[in-house]
This record gives sequence, C-alpha cells and structure tokens, in this order.
Amino acid sequence: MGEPPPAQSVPSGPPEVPSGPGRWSRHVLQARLVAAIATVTWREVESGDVSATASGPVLLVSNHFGGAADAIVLMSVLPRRPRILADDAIWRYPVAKQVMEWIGAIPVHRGRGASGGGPRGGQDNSDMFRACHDALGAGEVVLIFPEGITREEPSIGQVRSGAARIALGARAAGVSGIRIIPVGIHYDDKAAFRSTVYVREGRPIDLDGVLEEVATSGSSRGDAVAGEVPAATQPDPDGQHAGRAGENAGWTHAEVEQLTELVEERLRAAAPNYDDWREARALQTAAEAYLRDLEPTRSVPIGLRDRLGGWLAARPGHERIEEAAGDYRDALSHTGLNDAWATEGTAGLRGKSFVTVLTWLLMLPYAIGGVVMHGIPLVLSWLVSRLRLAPAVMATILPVASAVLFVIATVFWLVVGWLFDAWVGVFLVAVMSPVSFAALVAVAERAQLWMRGLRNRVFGIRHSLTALARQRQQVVGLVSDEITSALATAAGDQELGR
Amino acid sequence: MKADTIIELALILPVLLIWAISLRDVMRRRDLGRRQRVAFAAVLLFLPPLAVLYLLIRPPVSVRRGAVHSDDPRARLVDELELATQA
Repeated sequence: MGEPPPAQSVPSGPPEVPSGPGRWSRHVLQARLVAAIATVTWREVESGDVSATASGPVLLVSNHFGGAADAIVLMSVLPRRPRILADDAIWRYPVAKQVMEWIGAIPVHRGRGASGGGPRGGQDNSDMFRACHDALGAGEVVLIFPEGITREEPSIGQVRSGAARIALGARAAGVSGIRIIPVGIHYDDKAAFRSTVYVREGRPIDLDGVLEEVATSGSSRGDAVAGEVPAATQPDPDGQHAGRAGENAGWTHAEVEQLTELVEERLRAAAPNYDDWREARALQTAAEAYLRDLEPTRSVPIGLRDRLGGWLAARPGHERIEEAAGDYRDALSHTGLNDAWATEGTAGLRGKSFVTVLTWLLMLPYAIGGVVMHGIPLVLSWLVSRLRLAPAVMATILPVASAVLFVIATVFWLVVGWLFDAWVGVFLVAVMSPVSFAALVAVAERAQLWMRGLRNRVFGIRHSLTALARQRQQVVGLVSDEITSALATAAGDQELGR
Repeated sequence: MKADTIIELALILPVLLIWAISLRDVMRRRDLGRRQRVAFAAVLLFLPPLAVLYLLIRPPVSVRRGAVHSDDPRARLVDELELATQA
C-alpha cells in the first residue's frame, strides 16, 4: 500500500454542489428523505472528505456491516445519488420493489450456476452489467458491496470479483476515467438506535492507470480472454460468474484477479479491521482516552477515534492495550459514565448537571411539543431497536421502521395542520416539526446524562472515580508508549534510508 | 406577560431561527453567483415565511456533521502514524 488518503479537512463553506448525471439536486425528495432518516436513526453521521465521489464515473466499493443502513448512511453523505447494486430478492416485495426502482437501484441475481439458472430463478446478470456500464458511461456513481453479503464481524470478508468485472467491462465498453473508490463504514453499534457512524473514503484506484501498469508489466496478456471462453468452461469458485456470457468481454482473468486484490487491499485500509467487537470497542475506548488527553478542551471526533483504534489493532502486541482498555470500558459501563465524564471529576459532574438543567429548561416547551408530535414514532422506533434480532438484520429494519413511522406521523400532522388553519397550519407544522424533534432528542439525551450524574452522586462514586482515573491513566500510558515507539522506529528507518 | 403572548413568542422564535439559517445558507452558497445570492437573500429578507420553502427545495449538500478540522493537531498525528506504519 502507498500513502493513506490526505488529511481529512472541512472547507470553510458548504461543499460545492456537483453537476452532471445523478446529482442530488435532481432528486431533492430522495435526498431529503435519506437525510431525515439518517438524522432520526443516528445521533451523529461523520464523514471524512468524500469529494472524490463528486464527479466523473465512480465505482464505489464499501464494506457491508449493516444491510440497508449501509446504503442510507452512504446516500446521506455522498454528494451525488449512487446507483446501488442490491439483491434481486428485494424486488419480490411490492413496496420494496417500487422504492428500489424509485432510487434507481440495480438488481443483482445472486447464486447463479454456469448455465444461467440458479436457486432463485433463471435470469443471468447481463442486464445488471449492462445497467452498470450505462451508468458509468453516463458519469454516474455505482455503489457495490463487493463482499456480497452482510457481515457481522468488524472486518472485511472475502472480496468477490464483481466490482473488478464491472469496472473492466465498462472500460472495455469504452468508458474512460473510471475511478474505483473504497469507503469504510464504521458503526459504533450498528444495532442501536441513535448510535454514531463514521464514513471514511479510502485511496481511489484510477482504472486507466492500473491497466496501463498491468499492460506495461505484461503479466496478464498471456492469459485467455475471458469473454472468448464459454462461460460454462470457466472456473466459478464463488458461484457468481454465470453472467459472464452477458458481460462485455475485453478483460482477462489476471486483470480481474489483480484488480480484485487491489480493491480488497484498499477497502481493508478504509474499513474497520478488528478480530471481534470486543477488541474494536476496547481499542476505540483507548484511542478516545488518548486523544482526549491531547486536547482536553475539544471533543474527540469519532473519525479520529476509529482511525487511531484501527491503527492500534494493526500493531503487533496490542493485546496489552486491549486488555487494559477493556477493563476500563467495563468499569465505565458499571458506573454509568463515559470517558469524557470520567475526566471531569466530581466538580465537573456538578457543572455538567447545571448546564444540563439550564438547557432542559430552555428547550422543555419545544420538547413537550416534540413528545406530542413525535413521541409515538420515537417510542416505537426504540421498541423496535429492543427486539432480539441479529445486528445486521436490525441494522436493516431499524432505519426502515423509523422512516415509515416518521413519514406517517408527519403526514398525519400536516393533515391536522391543514384542517386546523389551511396553509397557515401546514406552515406551522413544517416549522415546528423539525424544531420540536430536535428539542425532544436534545432534552432526552441530556436527561439521560443528567440521570447518570444524579445516580452517581446519590450512590457516591467518588471512590470509583479515583479508581477509574487510575485505570484511564494506565490505558493512556500504554497508547502513548505504543505511539512513541512507532514514531521512533519510523524516524530510525528514515535515518537508515538516508 | 399574557399566555397568548408567550405562545406566540414560542412559535415565532423557531420561524426566526429558520429565517436566519436560510439567509446564512444563501450567502454561503457557492453554486450561485453574487447577484443571484443577493436576489435570493432579498426575497427571503422581505418574505420570511418563504425561508421554510427555501430550505425544503434548495439543492442538498453532503452531510459533514462533526468532521475533523485541518487545524486539529490530533488529525496530523493520526495521519503521521498511518504514514509511518505503511512506509
């Protein structure tokens, strides 16, 4: 791997609205709906610089942890509307079918045998490839989850060859300037309601450049051209290649393999890469504590926390940090605190409670309005999040349920507003609905923190805070040692290089 | 203060907030020329109720809630660590 993507930064003003096919301004309603679902479902959606996806033909490859949630998160941060590749099984359900067609999704017929027939029917994927090539030819963004299935573990599974074949097929069909851009989606807790998400753009792959390199090396030209070989005679290890007869030929197996490897490498660098969720949470906690100590007056961006956590996970011998941070995290959850509160001490907790009460009082009238307008969908969404389902299934159901419930509630209140005072009533609902929702969420979340603080004072956790501070110091010390050692090694290597 | 006045104030405050947000948004839009921005702002200035409509129909921009700022030394440190490890 080469250099990581450049430092993520935020321009002073809002990003420029891109032009060309697929721009969100042509799909305002979809963009609004997606943004509303994301705002309701997650407390914070943080993205790095995704401006590379703003123009030109882009094949976006992403990890797939959260089912429909992944698509919603990406749609909410991307500057253009992506054409999403999705399992054709979704098209079997009446409402889902209309939604998928409305957002311009492209069906993938999975599990086809070489004959083109498979467990779900007899279609091959030639239409899918054609649709992808057309979309790329029109300069659009095509989004694919190249692992093919939703994954429970916080790491990348086997990356299949679909992304490479689409890109190479489009190139062979005459589309130039295609970039394959990996994006990693990092969930704090993918099954939780009002959790946080971080989207990281990886290092883009310039397809023309890669093909030039392959051609120069000459390593692949001796292979048979896949399109000239009957589909049935080709090896089909993952059962996804039956559509080849319908693909636009012009690529070789070696090119597909090399490109797939490159896609996997770049995606792995952008996406979470932990052994399990306990390791992920422990190392993220360690990273958060360390970063908070560096700049105590600033909040810790979840993106930085996840990047440093990922860096720690890649270090040999990170188990010591994982163990200490895991214990610290357990202690935090036992006392009902988070890392920011643990650094405050009892005086800080009192100060936070004062601010919380003040905010409460200011926003309470609007929050009461929010309870009336959004209480039922909010409680129902929370109840849905408490169902005992696999996290990946929950990550699909939760945003969809939130969307349906809140759309019903909004339509209901708009009708009430109209009956109450025609357009004035509609106007008041349009103004008060988002304001009261924001106030309700802010008051409820601050109340939760306030209750924690109160509970801690009632049960006297002064002693626990001292113990926590000690554990925290140990974690920060271990991370600091690891960073110092890595930087010293890098400086030594640089010295030797000279 | 009468109860009616309090309720009216409670309704007017969000309208004012949305009005201010939309005016700020118009002035910061990069996809419009200076004249267009001034024209948009003038309309919103004299017709505040249109601010709600404006926010509903304006071209969306990508979400960048809580993103890292380039002046954050912690971002530079993480960049440096990733570079050092991959070098």
